[in-house]
Amino acid sequence: MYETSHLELFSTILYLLLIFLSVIISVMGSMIMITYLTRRTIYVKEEIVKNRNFGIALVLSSFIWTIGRMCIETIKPIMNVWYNTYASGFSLKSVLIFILGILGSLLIALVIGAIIVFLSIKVLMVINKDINEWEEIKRGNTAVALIISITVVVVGMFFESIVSNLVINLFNF
Amino acid sequence: MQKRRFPVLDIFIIFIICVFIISILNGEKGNILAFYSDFSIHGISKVNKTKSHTNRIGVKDIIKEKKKKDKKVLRNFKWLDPGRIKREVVFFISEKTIKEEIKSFGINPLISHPLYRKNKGFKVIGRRNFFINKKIVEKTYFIIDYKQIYERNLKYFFDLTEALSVSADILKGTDPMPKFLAFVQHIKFKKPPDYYKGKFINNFFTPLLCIYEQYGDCDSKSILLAEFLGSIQDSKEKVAIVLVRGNGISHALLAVKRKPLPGMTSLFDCKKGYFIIIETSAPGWAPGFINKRITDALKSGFFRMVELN
Repeated sequence: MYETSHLELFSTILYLLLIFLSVIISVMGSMIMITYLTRRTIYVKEEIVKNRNFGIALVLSSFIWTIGRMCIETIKPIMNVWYNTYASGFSLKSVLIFILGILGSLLIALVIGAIIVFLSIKVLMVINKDINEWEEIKRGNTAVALIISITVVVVGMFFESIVSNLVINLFNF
Repeated sequence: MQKRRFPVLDIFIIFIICVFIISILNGEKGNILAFYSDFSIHGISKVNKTKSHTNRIGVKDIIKEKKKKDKKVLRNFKWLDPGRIKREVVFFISEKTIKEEIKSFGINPLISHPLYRKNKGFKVIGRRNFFINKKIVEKTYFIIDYKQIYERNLKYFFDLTEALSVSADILKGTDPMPKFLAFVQHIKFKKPPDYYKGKFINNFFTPLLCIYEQYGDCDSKSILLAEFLGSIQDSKEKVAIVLVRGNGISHALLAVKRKPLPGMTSLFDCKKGYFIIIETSAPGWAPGFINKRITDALKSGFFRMVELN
Protein backbone atom coordinates (compact mmCIF):
# COMPACT_ATOMS: atom_id res chain seq x y z
CA MET A 1 0.00 0.00 0.00
CA TYR A 2 2.76 2.45 0.92
CA GLU A 3 6.19 2.38 -0.72
CA THR A 4 8.54 0.69 1.77
CA SER A 5 11.26 -0.82 -0.44
CA HIS A 6 13.89 1.79 0.60
CA LEU A 7 12.97 1.48 4.25
CA GLU A 8 13.16 -2.32 4.00
CA LEU A 9 16.59 -2.20 2.37
CA PHE A 10 18.13 0.25 4.87
CA SER A 11 16.50 -1.52 7.82
CA THR A 12 17.88 -4.89 6.73
CA ILE A 13 21.37 -3.44 6.28
CA LEU A 14 21.22 -1.78 9.70
CA TYR A 15 19.92 -4.95 11.35
CA LEU A 16 22.70 -7.09 9.86
CA LEU A 17 25.29 -4.47 10.82
CA LEU A 18 24.08 -4.47 14.42
CA ILE A 19 24.23 -8.28 14.60
CA PHE A 20 27.75 -8.23 13.14
CA LEU A 21 28.89 -5.57 15.61
CA SER A 22 27.33 -7.55 18.46
CA VAL A 23 29.35 -10.64 17.48
CA ILE A 24 32.63 -8.70 17.26
CA ILE A 25 32.06 -6.89 20.56
CA SER A 26 31.06 -10.06 22.40
CA VAL A 27 34.12 -12.05 21.21
CA MET A 28 36.64 -9.25 21.71
CA GLY A 29 35.07 -8.22 25.00
CA SER A 30 35.21 -11.79 26.30
CA MET A 31 38.90 -12.17 25.38
CA ILE A 32 39.74 -8.92 27.17
CA MET A 33 37.71 -9.93 30.25
CA ILE A 34 39.29 -13.34 30.62
CA THR A 35 42.78 -11.86 30.20
CA TYR A 36 42.04 -9.27 32.88
CA LEU A 37 40.43 -11.73 35.31
CA THR A 38 43.24 -14.27 35.08
CA ARG A 39 45.78 -11.41 35.49
CA ARG A 40 47.56 -12.68 32.44
CA THR A 41 48.59 -15.93 34.15
CA ILE A 42 46.68 -17.94 31.56
CA TYR A 43 47.39 -17.62 27.82
CA VAL A 44 43.94 -18.37 26.50
CA LYS A 45 44.85 -19.16 22.89
CA GLU A 46 47.67 -21.45 23.96
CA GLU A 47 45.48 -23.27 26.46
CA ILE A 48 42.68 -23.81 23.96
CA VAL A 49 44.72 -24.63 20.83
CA LYS A 50 47.79 -26.44 22.23
CA ASN A 51 46.62 -27.89 25.51
CA ARG A 52 43.01 -28.43 24.39
CA ASN A 53 41.82 -27.14 27.76
CA PHE A 54 38.08 -27.71 27.67
CA GLY A 55 37.54 -25.75 30.90
CA ILE A 56 38.99 -22.52 29.52
CA ALA A 57 36.90 -22.94 26.39
CA LEU A 58 33.79 -23.40 28.51
CA VAL A 59 34.44 -20.28 30.56
CA LEU A 60 35.25 -18.20 27.46
CA SER A 61 32.05 -19.42 25.79
CA SER A 62 29.98 -18.33 28.78
CA PHE A 63 31.59 -14.86 28.63
CA ILE A 64 30.84 -14.62 24.89
CA TRP A 65 27.26 -15.74 25.48
CA THR A 66 26.64 -13.20 28.27
CA ILE A 67 28.16 -10.20 26.52
CA GLY A 68 26.51 -11.28 23.25
CA ARG A 69 23.07 -11.41 24.94
CA MET A 70 23.60 -7.90 26.27
CA CYS A 71 24.46 -6.64 22.76
CA ILE A 72 21.46 -8.40 21.21
CA GLU A 73 19.17 -6.71 23.75
CA THR A 74 20.20 -3.35 22.29
CA ILE A 75 19.09 -4.24 18.74
CA LYS A 76 15.33 -3.89 19.26
CA PRO A 77 15.48 -0.47 20.94
CA ILE A 78 17.88 0.74 18.22
CA MET A 79 15.53 -0.48 15.46
CA ASN A 80 12.60 1.18 17.31
CA VAL A 81 14.42 4.52 17.23
CA TRP A 82 15.45 3.94 13.59
CA TYR A 83 11.84 3.56 12.43
CA ASN A 84 10.78 6.65 14.41
CA THR A 85 13.68 8.63 12.92
CA TYR A 86 12.81 7.46 9.40
CA ALA A 87 9.17 8.46 9.90
CA SER A 88 10.14 11.95 11.04
CA GLY A 89 12.62 12.53 8.23
CA PHE A 90 16.42 12.73 8.26
CA SER A 91 18.65 15.67 9.02
CA LEU A 92 22.41 15.77 9.69
CA LYS A 93 21.75 16.30 13.39
CA SER A 94 19.34 13.35 13.67
CA VAL A 95 21.72 11.02 11.77
CA LEU A 96 24.67 11.99 13.99
CA ILE A 97 22.59 11.53 17.13
CA PHE A 98 21.45 8.14 15.86
CA ILE A 99 25.00 6.95 15.13
CA LEU A 100 26.19 8.18 18.52
CA GLY A 101 23.23 6.40 20.06
CA ILE A 102 24.22 3.09 18.43
CA LEU A 103 27.80 3.40 19.65
CA GLY A 104 26.60 4.37 23.12
CA SER A 105 24.20 1.42 23.26
CA LEU A 106 26.85 -1.11 22.29
CA LEU A 107 29.22 0.43 24.84
CA ILE A 108 26.54 0.13 27.53
CA ALA A 109 26.00 -3.52 26.57
CA LEU A 110 29.74 -4.24 26.76
CA VAL A 111 30.21 -2.48 30.10
CA ILE A 112 27.20 -4.14 31.72
CA GLY A 113 28.21 -7.53 30.32
CA ALA A 114 31.72 -7.07 31.71
CA ILE A 115 30.40 -6.00 35.12
CA ILE A 116 28.10 -9.03 35.27
CA VAL A 117 30.91 -11.42 34.36
CA PHE A 118 33.25 -9.81 36.91
CA LEU A 119 30.65 -9.81 39.69
CA SER A 120 29.53 -13.39 39.16
CA ILE A 121 33.13 -14.69 39.29
CA LYS A 122 33.96 -12.51 42.29
CA VAL A 123 30.92 -13.84 44.18
CA LEU A 124 32.05 -17.43 43.51
CA MET A 125 35.58 -16.62 44.64
CA VAL A 126 34.31 -15.03 47.84
CA ILE A 127 32.12 -18.05 48.58
CA ASN A 128 34.92 -20.58 47.82
CA LYS A 129 37.95 -18.97 49.42
CA ASP A 130 39.84 -22.26 49.72
CA ILE A 131 39.77 -22.88 45.96
CA ASN A 132 41.78 -20.99 43.37
CA GLU A 133 39.37 -21.34 40.45
CA TRP A 134 41.79 -20.22 37.72
CA GLU A 135 44.50 -22.61 38.87
CA GLU A 136 42.02 -25.45 38.89
CA ILE A 137 40.86 -24.59 35.38
CA LYS A 138 44.49 -24.36 34.19
CA ARG A 139 45.08 -27.87 35.57
CA GLY A 140 42.14 -29.09 33.51
CA ASN A 141 39.42 -29.26 36.17
CA THR A 142 36.33 -29.18 33.92
CA ALA A 143 33.88 -29.35 36.84
CA VAL A 144 35.02 -26.00 38.26
CA ALA A 145 34.88 -24.47 34.77
CA LEU A 146 31.31 -25.74 34.35
CA ILE A 147 30.19 -24.16 37.62
CA ILE A 148 31.75 -20.82 36.72
CA SER A 149 30.22 -20.88 33.22
CA ILE A 150 26.71 -21.64 34.41
CA THR A 151 26.92 -18.98 37.14
CA VAL A 152 27.95 -16.34 34.59
CA VAL A 153 25.18 -17.39 32.14
CA VAL A 154 22.41 -17.39 34.76
CA VAL A 155 23.40 -14.01 36.24
CA GLY A 156 23.50 -12.64 32.69
CA MET A 157 19.95 -13.87 32.07
CA PHE A 158 18.70 -11.96 35.15
CA PHE A 159 20.24 -8.69 34.00
CA GLU A 160 19.33 -8.82 30.28
CA SER A 161 16.28 -6.56 30.51
CA ILE A 162 18.27 -3.77 32.20
CA VAL A 163 20.24 -3.20 29.00
CA SER A 164 17.18 -2.60 26.81
CA ASN A 165 15.72 -0.17 29.39
CA LEU A 166 19.02 1.73 29.61
CA VAL A 167 19.27 1.97 25.81
CA ILE A 168 15.70 3.29 25.54
CA ASN A 169 16.50 5.95 28.15
CA LEU A 170 19.74 6.80 26.36
CA PHE A 171 17.87 7.63 23.15
CA ASN A 172 15.21 9.57 25.07
CA PHE A 173 17.90 11.65 26.84
CA MET B 1 -91.39 -8.40 -9.00
CA GLN B 2 -89.64 -6.76 -6.05
CA LYS B 3 -86.30 -5.08 -6.74
CA ARG B 4 -83.45 -6.72 -4.93
CA ARG B 5 -81.90 -4.46 -2.28
CA PHE B 6 -78.16 -4.25 -1.72
CA PRO B 7 -77.58 -2.62 1.72
CA VAL B 8 -73.80 -2.73 1.34
CA LEU B 9 -74.00 -0.70 -1.86
CA ASP B 10 -76.22 1.90 -0.16
CA ILE B 11 -73.76 2.34 2.69
CA PHE B 12 -70.91 2.68 0.25
CA ILE B 13 -72.67 5.43 -1.70
CA ILE B 14 -73.44 7.34 1.50
CA PHE B 15 -69.80 7.04 2.53
CA ILE B 16 -68.58 8.48 -0.80
CA ILE B 17 -71.03 11.39 -0.52
CA CYS B 18 -69.79 12.19 3.01
CA VAL B 19 -66.15 12.19 1.90
CA PHE B 20 -67.01 14.48 -1.01
CA ILE B 21 -68.82 16.93 1.23
CA ILE B 22 -65.99 17.03 3.76
CA SER B 23 -63.36 17.63 1.08
CA ILE B 24 -65.32 20.52 -0.39
CA LEU B 25 -65.77 22.10 3.01
CA ASN B 26 -62.03 21.78 3.98
CA GLY B 27 -60.70 22.89 0.60
CA GLU B 28 -61.42 26.57 1.28
CA LYS B 29 -59.65 26.65 4.65
CA GLY B 30 -56.71 24.40 3.64
CA ASN B 31 -55.47 21.29 5.39
CA ILE B 32 -54.65 22.28 9.01
CA LEU B 33 -53.23 18.85 9.79
CA ALA B 34 -50.28 19.35 7.36
CA PHE B 35 -48.87 22.06 9.64
CA TYR B 36 -49.52 20.33 12.94
CA SER B 37 -46.43 20.21 15.10
CA ASP B 38 -45.62 19.80 18.76
CA PHE B 39 -43.04 22.55 18.36
CA SER B 40 -45.24 25.08 16.61
CA ILE B 41 -44.20 28.66 17.01
CA HIS B 42 -46.79 31.33 16.77
CA GLY B 43 -45.60 34.42 15.07
CA ILE B 44 -45.98 36.51 11.96
CA SER B 45 -47.77 34.33 9.49
CA LYS B 46 -46.89 33.94 5.87
CA VAL B 47 -50.32 33.84 4.33
CA ASN B 48 -50.54 31.32 1.56
CA LYS B 49 -53.99 31.35 -0.04
CA THR B 50 -53.66 27.93 -1.60
CA LYS B 51 -52.48 26.17 1.52
CA SER B 52 -53.19 27.68 4.88
CA HIS B 53 -54.16 30.91 6.51
CA THR B 54 -53.06 29.85 9.98
CA ASN B 55 -50.50 31.98 11.80
CA ARG B 56 -48.10 29.10 12.43
CA ILE B 57 -44.55 28.99 10.97
CA GLY B 58 -43.82 25.85 8.87
CA VAL B 59 -41.92 22.76 10.08
CA LYS B 60 -39.03 23.45 7.70
CA ASP B 61 -38.40 26.79 9.40
CA ILE B 62 -38.35 25.08 12.79
CA ILE B 63 -35.74 22.53 11.64
CA LYS B 64 -33.53 25.34 10.32
CA GLU B 65 -33.74 27.06 13.74
CA LYS B 66 -32.74 23.86 15.54
CA LYS B 67 -29.77 23.27 13.21
CA LYS B 68 -28.38 26.69 13.98
CA LYS B 69 -28.55 25.88 17.70
CA ASP B 70 -26.55 22.59 17.28
CA LYS B 71 -23.54 23.34 19.48
CA LYS B 72 -20.03 22.11 18.78
CA VAL B 73 -17.64 21.05 21.48
CA LEU B 74 -13.97 21.98 21.17
CA ARG B 75 -11.22 19.52 22.13
CA ASN B 76 -7.57 20.58 22.03
CA PHE B 77 -4.67 18.11 21.99
CA LYS B 78 -0.95 18.78 22.27
CA TRP B 79 1.43 16.06 21.17
CA LEU B 80 4.94 15.28 19.93
CA ASP B 81 5.38 13.66 16.55
CA PRO B 82 8.13 11.03 15.91
CA GLY B 83 10.56 13.83 15.05
CA ARG B 84 9.98 15.44 18.50
CA ILE B 85 8.19 18.40 16.91
CA LYS B 86 5.45 19.86 19.12
CA ARG B 87 2.08 19.81 17.43
CA GLU B 88 -1.42 20.89 18.33
CA VAL B 89 -4.76 19.79 16.94
CA VAL B 90 -8.25 21.08 17.64
CA PHE B 91 -11.28 18.90 17.05
CA PHE B 92 -14.81 20.25 16.76
CA ILE B 93 -17.40 17.67 17.69
CA SER B 94 -21.14 18.20 17.54
CA GLU B 95 -22.93 17.81 20.87
CA LYS B 96 -25.71 15.98 19.09
CA THR B 97 -23.20 13.41 17.80
CA ILE B 98 -21.86 12.83 21.27
CA LYS B 99 -25.36 12.38 22.70
CA GLU B 100 -26.12 9.88 19.93
CA GLU B 101 -22.94 7.99 20.69
CA ILE B 102 -23.63 7.88 24.43
CA LYS B 103 -27.14 6.61 23.70
CA SER B 104 -25.92 3.82 21.46
CA PHE B 105 -23.25 2.40 23.77
CA GLY B 106 -23.61 1.18 27.33
CA ILE B 107 -26.07 -1.15 29.06
CA ASN B 108 -28.29 -1.30 32.09
CA PRO B 109 -26.79 -4.30 33.91
CA LEU B 110 -30.20 -5.40 35.18
CA ILE B 111 -31.35 -6.09 31.64
CA SER B 112 -29.65 -9.26 30.49
CA HIS B 113 -31.39 -9.93 27.17
CA PRO B 114 -28.71 -10.69 24.55
CA LEU B 115 -30.46 -8.68 21.81
CA TYR B 116 -30.57 -5.59 24.01
CA ARG B 117 -26.91 -5.96 24.80
CA LYS B 118 -26.07 -6.56 21.14
CA ASN B 119 -27.74 -3.29 20.20
CA LYS B 120 -25.77 -1.46 22.84
CA GLY B 121 -22.32 -2.60 21.71
CA PHE B 122 -21.84 -5.87 23.59
CA LYS B 123 -21.54 -9.41 22.28
CA VAL B 124 -22.38 -12.67 24.04
CA ILE B 125 -19.47 -15.09 23.85
CA GLY B 126 -20.67 -17.88 26.06
CA ARG B 127 -23.12 -19.23 28.61
CA ARG B 128 -22.59 -21.41 31.62
CA ASN B 129 -24.92 -22.95 34.18
CA PHE B 130 -24.15 -22.74 37.87
CA PHE B 131 -25.87 -24.58 40.70
CA ILE B 132 -26.50 -21.96 43.40
CA ASN B 133 -28.87 -22.37 46.37
CA LYS B 134 -30.43 -25.49 44.93
CA LYS B 135 -31.22 -23.69 41.69
CA ILE B 136 -29.64 -23.73 38.28
CA VAL B 137 -28.57 -20.22 37.37
CA GLU B 138 -27.41 -19.37 33.86
CA LYS B 139 -24.57 -16.90 33.61
CA THR B 140 -23.89 -15.12 30.32
CA TYR B 141 -20.40 -13.99 29.37
CA PHE B 142 -20.15 -11.01 27.10
CA ILE B 143 -17.47 -8.70 25.73
CA ILE B 144 -17.49 -5.44 23.91
CA ASP B 145 -18.34 -5.79 20.24
CA TYR B 146 -15.33 -3.90 18.94
CA LYS B 147 -16.20 -4.49 15.29
CA GLN B 148 -19.66 -2.98 15.66
CA ILE B 149 -18.27 0.05 17.48
CA TYR B 150 -15.51 0.51 14.87
CA GLU B 151 -17.97 0.40 11.95
CA ARG B 152 -20.46 2.71 13.65
CA ASN B 153 -17.88 5.37 14.58
CA LEU B 154 -16.24 5.54 11.15
CA LYS B 155 -18.71 8.12 9.89
CA TYR B 156 -17.70 10.57 12.67
CA PHE B 157 -14.01 10.34 11.92
CA PHE B 158 -13.66 11.57 8.34
CA ASP B 159 -13.51 15.22 9.44
CA LEU B 160 -11.43 14.48 12.53
CA THR B 161 -8.85 12.54 10.48
CA GLU B 162 -8.68 15.41 8.00
CA ALA B 163 -8.00 17.87 10.84
CA LEU B 164 -5.33 15.59 12.30
CA SER B 165 -3.65 15.10 8.90
CA VAL B 166 -3.47 18.86 8.42
CA SER B 167 -2.00 19.47 11.89
CA ALA B 168 0.57 16.70 11.39
CA ASP B 169 1.57 17.96 7.89
CA ILE B 170 0.87 14.58 6.34
CA LEU B 171 1.21 14.68 2.57
CA LYS B 172 -1.12 12.67 0.36
CA GLY B 173 0.31 9.31 -0.56
CA THR B 174 2.67 9.15 2.43
CA ASP B 175 2.21 6.74 5.28
CA PRO B 176 0.27 8.50 8.05
CA MET B 177 0.56 5.68 10.58
CA PRO B 178 3.68 6.83 12.53
CA LYS B 179 2.21 10.30 13.14
CA PHE B 180 -1.29 9.04 13.94
CA LEU B 181 0.28 6.53 16.30
CA ALA B 182 2.31 9.26 18.01
CA PHE B 183 -0.87 11.32 18.48
CA VAL B 184 -2.81 8.45 20.01
CA GLN B 185 0.12 7.50 22.25
CA HIS B 186 0.23 11.04 23.66
CA ILE B 187 -3.44 10.94 24.71
CA LYS B 188 -3.58 10.50 28.48
CA PHE B 189 -3.61 6.87 29.55
CA LYS B 190 -6.30 6.45 32.20
CA LYS B 191 -8.77 3.65 32.75
CA PRO B 192 -12.36 4.70 31.92
CA PRO B 193 -14.91 4.18 34.67
CA ASP B 194 -17.20 1.13 34.95
CA TYR B 195 -20.26 3.35 34.62
CA TYR B 196 -20.63 6.40 32.40
CA LYS B 197 -23.76 8.58 32.39
CA GLY B 198 -25.56 5.87 34.34
CA LYS B 199 -24.72 3.06 31.95
CA PHE B 200 -22.31 0.15 32.30
CA ILE B 201 -19.48 0.55 29.78
CA ASN B 202 -17.00 -2.09 31.01
CA ASN B 203 -14.07 0.39 31.30
CA PHE B 204 -14.18 1.17 27.59
CA PHE B 205 -14.63 4.46 25.79
CA THR B 206 -15.77 4.41 22.19
CA PRO B 207 -13.38 6.37 19.92
CA LEU B 208 -15.54 9.48 19.89
CA LEU B 209 -15.87 9.45 23.68
CA CYS B 210 -12.12 8.97 23.96
CA ILE B 211 -11.62 12.22 22.01
CA TYR B 212 -14.41 13.93 23.98
CA GLU B 213 -13.07 12.94 27.40
CA GLN B 214 -9.42 13.26 26.28
CA TYR B 215 -8.28 10.05 27.88
CA GLY B 216 -8.54 6.31 27.37
CA ASP B 217 -6.98 2.97 28.14
CA CYS B 218 -5.34 0.38 25.87
CA ASP B 219 -8.41 -0.92 24.02
CA SER B 220 -10.04 2.52 23.70
CA LYS B 221 -6.86 3.98 22.19
CA SER B 222 -6.33 0.97 19.90
CA ILE B 223 -9.80 1.34 18.39
CA LEU B 224 -9.25 5.11 18.15
CA LEU B 225 -6.10 4.56 16.07
CA ALA B 226 -7.98 2.03 13.94
CA GLU B 227 -10.66 4.68 13.26
CA PHE B 228 -8.07 7.23 12.14
CA LEU B 229 -6.42 4.69 9.83
CA GLY B 230 -9.74 3.45 8.47
CA SER B 231 -11.22 6.88 7.73
CA ILE B 232 -8.44 8.08 5.42
CA GLN B 233 -9.63 8.57 1.86
CA ASP B 234 -9.32 5.35 -0.17
CA SER B 235 -7.98 3.51 2.85
CA LYS B 236 -7.35 -0.21 2.34
CA GLU B 237 -5.87 -0.77 5.77
CA LYS B 238 -6.96 -4.04 7.37
CA VAL B 239 -6.94 -3.78 11.14
CA ALA B 240 -7.64 -6.06 14.06
CA ILE B 241 -7.56 -5.71 17.83
CA VAL B 242 -5.42 -8.17 19.78
CA LEU B 243 -6.64 -8.88 23.31
CA VAL B 244 -3.87 -10.30 25.49
CA ARG B 245 -4.75 -12.09 28.68
CA GLY B 246 -2.22 -14.30 30.41
CA ASN B 247 1.14 -14.29 32.21
CA GLY B 248 -0.33 -11.72 34.59
CA ILE B 249 -1.09 -9.32 31.74
CA SER B 250 -4.40 -7.93 30.56
CA HIS B 251 -3.77 -5.68 27.59
CA ALA B 252 -5.03 -4.70 24.15
CA LEU B 253 -3.00 -3.91 21.06
CA LEU B 254 -3.77 -3.01 17.49
CA ALA B 255 -2.72 -5.26 14.60
CA VAL B 256 -2.37 -3.84 11.10
CA LYS B 257 -1.97 -6.01 8.02
CA ARG B 258 1.42 -4.99 6.66
CA LYS B 259 4.72 -6.60 5.79
CA PRO B 260 6.89 -6.69 8.91
CA LEU B 261 10.27 -5.01 8.60
CA PRO B 262 13.45 -6.23 10.38
CA GLY B 263 13.07 -6.19 14.15
CA MET B 264 9.26 -5.85 14.17
CA THR B 265 6.95 -8.12 16.12
CA SER B 266 4.17 -9.58 14.00
CA LEU B 267 1.48 -12.22 14.01
CA PHE B 268 1.05 -14.57 11.10
CA ASP B 269 -2.34 -15.85 10.03
CA CYS B 270 -2.22 -18.73 7.54
CA LYS B 271 -5.08 -17.30 5.47
CA LYS B 272 -4.62 -13.58 5.90
CA GLY B 273 -0.88 -13.10 6.21
CA TYR B 274 1.23 -10.90 8.47
CA PHE B 275 -0.15 -8.40 10.95
CA ILE B 276 2.28 -6.04 12.69
CA ILE B 277 1.52 -5.28 16.32
CA ILE B 278 1.15 -1.69 17.46
CA GLU B 279 1.39 -0.40 21.04
CA THR B 280 -0.87 2.62 21.63
CA SER B 281 -0.61 2.98 25.41
CA ALA B 282 2.59 4.95 25.83
CA PRO B 283 4.75 7.22 23.66
CA GLY B 284 7.99 6.01 22.08
CA TRP B 285 6.89 2.70 20.56
CA ALA B 286 7.30 2.51 16.81
CA PRO B 287 4.89 0.27 14.84
CA GLY B 288 5.90 -3.35 15.36
CA PHE B 289 7.64 -2.86 18.73
CA ILE B 290 6.11 -3.92 22.03
CA ASN B 291 7.13 -4.75 25.57
CA LYS B 292 9.03 -8.01 26.02
CA ARG B 293 6.50 -9.37 28.52
CA ILE B 294 3.73 -8.92 26.00
CA THR B 295 5.84 -10.59 23.31
CA ASP B 296 6.24 -13.58 25.65
CA ALA B 297 2.48 -13.66 26.27
CA LEU B 298 1.85 -13.60 22.50
CA LYS B 299 4.40 -16.39 21.96
CA SER B 300 2.61 -18.44 24.61
CA GLY B 301 -0.69 -17.99 22.77
CA PHE B 302 -2.48 -15.99 25.48
CA PHE B 303 -4.31 -13.73 23.05
CA ARG B 304 -7.40 -13.40 20.91
CA MET B 305 -7.51 -11.46 17.64
CA VAL B 306 -10.74 -9.70 16.63
CA GLU B 307 -10.85 -8.39 13.08
CA LEU B 308 -12.39 -4.97 12.69
CA ASN B 309 -12.70 -4.82 8.89
